[in-house]
Amino acid sequence: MHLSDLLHSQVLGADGASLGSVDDVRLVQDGPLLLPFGAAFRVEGLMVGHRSVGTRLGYVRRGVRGPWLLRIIFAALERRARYVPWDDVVAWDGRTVRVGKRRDELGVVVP
Amino acid sequence: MTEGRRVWAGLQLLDRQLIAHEERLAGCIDDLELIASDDGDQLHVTAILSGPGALAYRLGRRRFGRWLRRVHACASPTGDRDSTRIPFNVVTDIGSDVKLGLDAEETGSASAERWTRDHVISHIPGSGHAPE
Repeated sequence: MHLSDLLHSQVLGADGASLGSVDDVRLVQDGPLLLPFGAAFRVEGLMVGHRSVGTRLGYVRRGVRGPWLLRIIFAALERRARYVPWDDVVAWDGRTVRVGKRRDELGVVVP
Repeated sequence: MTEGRRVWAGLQLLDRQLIAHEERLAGCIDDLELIASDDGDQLHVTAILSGPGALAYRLGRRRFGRWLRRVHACASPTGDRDSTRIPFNVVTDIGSDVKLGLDAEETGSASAERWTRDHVISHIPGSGHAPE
């Protein structure tokens, strides 16, 4: 499997409604040891949504403060995006990610 | 390496410059290989994919990308190892670029250039002389 397979996948909620596509993948370095590198990166969660372009460009995430006009625009866009923890993913067949929660049960903010 | 650090794969890894052991440029991160854990519940990043085939696959040209990777593997100086696949354990640092513990010759980004040098240019009379 490739990361690009995941990035192009459509995401469906528990009610079958589309949550958009996977816009970015969050990795955490706590997997099995790959010496001498260290722990492997593990897929921790997905940023999904139709309008999460600001997220991909790095706006609104913690530590990014401006320019203020762009921050406001991208903050509005990012509210439509959702963060899906990988533990909430029920299945992924290479094209479609099925999530065990509905859109309103998913968080906007990355923990 | 800091244990437990978090990165956004698309934002902080894809398209980053690869720097080989001898400080030579060695292509970019075009894709990442994901392997499911034994229980199938988790996905782990096991390798960097770099080269025209990996990029074509990422851009949606799946069949062409696989074919191009096979062609590059045939031209690989590393024998049976697919030089477009760089195991993640050879990564030494991740920052604004990604540093590798490999020589640039062992990566797949310049395999077409190497093949042309070894199989075409080297057979041209006089090609053994360094340019003056």
